Amino acid sequence: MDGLNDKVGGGTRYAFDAALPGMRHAKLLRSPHPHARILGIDASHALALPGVVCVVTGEDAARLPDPHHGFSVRDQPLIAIGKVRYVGDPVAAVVAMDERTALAALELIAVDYEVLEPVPTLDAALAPGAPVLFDEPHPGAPLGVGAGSWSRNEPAPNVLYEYGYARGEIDTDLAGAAHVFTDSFAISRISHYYLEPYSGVARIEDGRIELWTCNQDPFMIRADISRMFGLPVNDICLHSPMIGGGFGGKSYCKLEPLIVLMAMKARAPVRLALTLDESLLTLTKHAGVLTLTTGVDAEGRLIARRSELKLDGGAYADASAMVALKAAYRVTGPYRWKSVFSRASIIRTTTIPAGSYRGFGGTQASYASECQIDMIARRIGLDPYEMRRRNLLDVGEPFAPGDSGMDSDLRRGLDEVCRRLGYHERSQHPGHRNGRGMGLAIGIKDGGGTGNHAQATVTVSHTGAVTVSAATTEIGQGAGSTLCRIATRTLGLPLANARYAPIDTDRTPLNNGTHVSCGTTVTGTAVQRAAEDARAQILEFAAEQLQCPAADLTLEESGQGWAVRRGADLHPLAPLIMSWFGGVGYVFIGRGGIKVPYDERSPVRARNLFWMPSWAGAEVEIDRETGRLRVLQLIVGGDAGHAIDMASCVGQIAGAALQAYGLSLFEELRYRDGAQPENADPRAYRVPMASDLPDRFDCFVEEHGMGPGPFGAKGLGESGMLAVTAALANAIEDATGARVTTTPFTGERILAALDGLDTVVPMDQRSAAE
Amino acid sequence: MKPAPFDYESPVTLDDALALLDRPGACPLAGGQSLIPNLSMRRTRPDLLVDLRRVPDLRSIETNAGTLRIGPMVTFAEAAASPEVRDACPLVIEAIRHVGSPAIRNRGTLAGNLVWADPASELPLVAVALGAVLTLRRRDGEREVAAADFLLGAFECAIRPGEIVTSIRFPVAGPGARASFAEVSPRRNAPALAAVAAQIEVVDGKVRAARIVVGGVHPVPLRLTAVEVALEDAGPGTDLPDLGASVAKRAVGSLPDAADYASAVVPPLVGRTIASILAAS
Repeated sequence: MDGLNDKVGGGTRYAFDAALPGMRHAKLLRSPHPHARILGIDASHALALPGVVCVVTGEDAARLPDPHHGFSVRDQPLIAIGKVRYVGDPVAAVVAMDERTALAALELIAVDYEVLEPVPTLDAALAPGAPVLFDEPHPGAPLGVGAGSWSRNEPAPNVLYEYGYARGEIDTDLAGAAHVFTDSFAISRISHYYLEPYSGVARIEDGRIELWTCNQDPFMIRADISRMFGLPVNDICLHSPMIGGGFGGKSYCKLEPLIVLMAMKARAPVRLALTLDESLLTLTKHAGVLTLTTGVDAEGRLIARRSELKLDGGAYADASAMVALKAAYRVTGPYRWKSVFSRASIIRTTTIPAGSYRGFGGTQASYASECQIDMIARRIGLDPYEMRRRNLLDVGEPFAPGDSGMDSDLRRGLDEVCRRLGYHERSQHPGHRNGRGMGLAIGIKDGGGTGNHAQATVTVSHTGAVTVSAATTEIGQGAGSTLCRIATRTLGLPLANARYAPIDTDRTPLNNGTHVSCGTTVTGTAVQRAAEDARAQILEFAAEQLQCPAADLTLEESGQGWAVRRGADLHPLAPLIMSWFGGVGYVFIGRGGIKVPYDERSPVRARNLFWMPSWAGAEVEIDRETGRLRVLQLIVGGDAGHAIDMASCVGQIAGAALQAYGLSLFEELRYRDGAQPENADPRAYRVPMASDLPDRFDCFVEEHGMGPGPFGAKGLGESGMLAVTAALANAIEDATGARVTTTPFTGERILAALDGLDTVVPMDQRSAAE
Repeated sequence: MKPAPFDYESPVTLDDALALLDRPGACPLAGGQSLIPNLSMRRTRPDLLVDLRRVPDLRSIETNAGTLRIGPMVTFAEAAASPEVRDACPLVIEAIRHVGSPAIRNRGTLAGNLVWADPASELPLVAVALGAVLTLRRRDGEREVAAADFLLGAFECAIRPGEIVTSIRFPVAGPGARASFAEVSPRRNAPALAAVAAQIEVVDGKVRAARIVVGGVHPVPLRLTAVEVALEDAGPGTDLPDLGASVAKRAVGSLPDAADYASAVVPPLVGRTIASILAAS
């Protein structure tokens, strides 16, 4: 809560604000070409400029034990080595006394390029004889998978990764289905557009590396630096201050190894703070084409689905493999199937690398799946609501054989959306199907990570002051506040007693990063167990002092500070502790941890910890003459299991929903003629603003009480994104009969879909159909 | 990004301002709503910014002898709130509703909008529709240019180095004049993809002095005289919005290089502006 005031008042310190004595400043020279060989770099004029400390290039990087990073496929050099693969690929880094000098020096560096043919699109990359981005395969083990799945790194030229999952007799079941439909959906590339530009500061002192970074995965970065520089992890310390937004764009390794290398070469602390323009060149969300073939029986029950997902991974791996796996595994949605065949490939192109973005492929998969479910319902004459209701998984029913059961009541959430939207009354509006309509969608995503684990400590001082220490970063989601609530609720002490400790990898217990909506459930469980451990220690200490069984005692906050209660008697704890220990008092140190076990019988090698459904409904009005879309209502709901902090939960749903809303309506990172980014600057690239909000925007959080986390909680941070795009597309069809299958749904695209309708269906038949 | 280095002056007399602007590389600063972002992106690199904010007498709005005169530092918000503008040029008021956000309307100026000559912005359409005349002044003289001659292309106008706009003059609308402005943009507060400015005098049910100007289909605002003539010549009982839309469709359809979407939506927007004017008459 103090954090809120600090944020608004400008007091919060970000990695962007980190400053050290003697710190130098870095700027990056970036490739102007989408694809080129580096024949030579002449930095002599830059080095001659007064104030320039050093220039780092691929030559320096190549001397490291391992200059590459990337999740599962390690293909990205910390700075270009020999080749550039997208416009914006860092080629040289200048360290100078100040940013202005570094900027001036960039213009003095001469790079000799041999320009190669760009590979800007999926089609270009997969064409026979297409230029290849990489000549050699890369180190890195394919993601581990379980029953029914396969996972392959670099299976074909320009294909980074393939994941597949199959069960049942797909061909037989499709052949036997009453209806079979094949539809393709395209989704556009968008930017994470976090407001704190990517930044970090590195210092090398007494042989130790210290790094302040905006990255949301401090321990993962520590491991990457350890491997790349050949140093033990306890010689590397990362500090993670408040992060100014990330949405996946600050996860996995980015610029940290380069900052370290610069600090080593400069023999001084070095700060690299990108501009917002450069941040847009660092990572994107996968564009792609998703083709689904779905068979249903005569009653609209889903039988079988074959899915082929081609996702544009850009120039380097980043976390693409995980995105492919998650997208393909989830593309069947929250429904019951007889047989499934799903395959996702990550295609390399000479564009900005794509990686995780709030839901790891969940948005892409839910968008395609929920559009097609709606289209099929309309084609076979079922209301889309009824179609979903017939096929939804029941509570406890496994998502797939070997995986965990559904831990939300999917129908209950859908009915809540319908109630808030007025869905079942929509045909009473005179404009229904004449420019006005409603659409529904249900997104689904696994949450908590695969076989995830986390550790935490909760320390309690003799005065009852609580310090919660865990590595879930503060990225705007209120992690510290939620984890403090879990700790104090477990201890029976007021929230005001608790502080969330600053994160550094020397002192903070480890976790795998701030990902996959795992903070409350995974790290939260570790915190809860640490608080239980501390509480047990406190009660045992008090029991010994009071000469009674610990089971007779409870902790509570009294008028004289914290105390133990034994029946009607209150015993203030501070005097008890001080009289025993003396000195400056004592701290009880509680430790907690959790490990979700691996399970080879589960398709993604671990039973999913919890399911994150997202229910969305939209009402739209379409202007027939201009194709303009007006969103009258957008309703988005999620299930927190149990809300530790309801305001934070609703805020997470709303924030995620608006990111999907932007993607649906106008957000798109475009390339001009396939080679140069067209709008990769913050003035041209626009995310939704207050003036873009739907006329009515209503987010709700259900508490179905089935979460595995503390007090029945489960995560929902990513879920708000999943269903919005499909709900809008489905509402457009409900309003007009026209289907848009490419995001964003611009006036131009909607008008073209409406015009297509006119040519396909003559007016008299259309009115008869209505 | 940050702007390239520049010098800054804030003169307090018009003569001083014009003397400073006479220097090579000088650039006037009015509301700054287009200039400042472009400085930051280093698309514009002036040596000297001459801030006109403290120069007196550039903020007046007055009506005299059938002419509305708007000073160059009058902001959109000031014009929108002015009874003189409302009475003399309802089309200006209608157009300003579509200009940017409140923050932009509070700082952006009408003159700056014309000089920037963004083909997606509103004031150029209005100025052409109403036959506005701009006074351009430099250290050693003054000249007058009609808006239609002033706007040369996308982001191109007839202003010369050292000159500033010192007034925009609009003819006062005749009795019965009604105005309407319509546009389509990708999202609220975003530059328009297509726009229509319309003013019509309706006297005794008869259309006179129709002015229909469209944007988005041509590098400069395009006056659709064929639509104007068709409306003025139409017999009683004619469906004027329908007529306007169909004539506009023919006129826009014959243009080379017009964007498909803008060409598709301009005709219905023409029909809507006419319908809106007739409904208000």
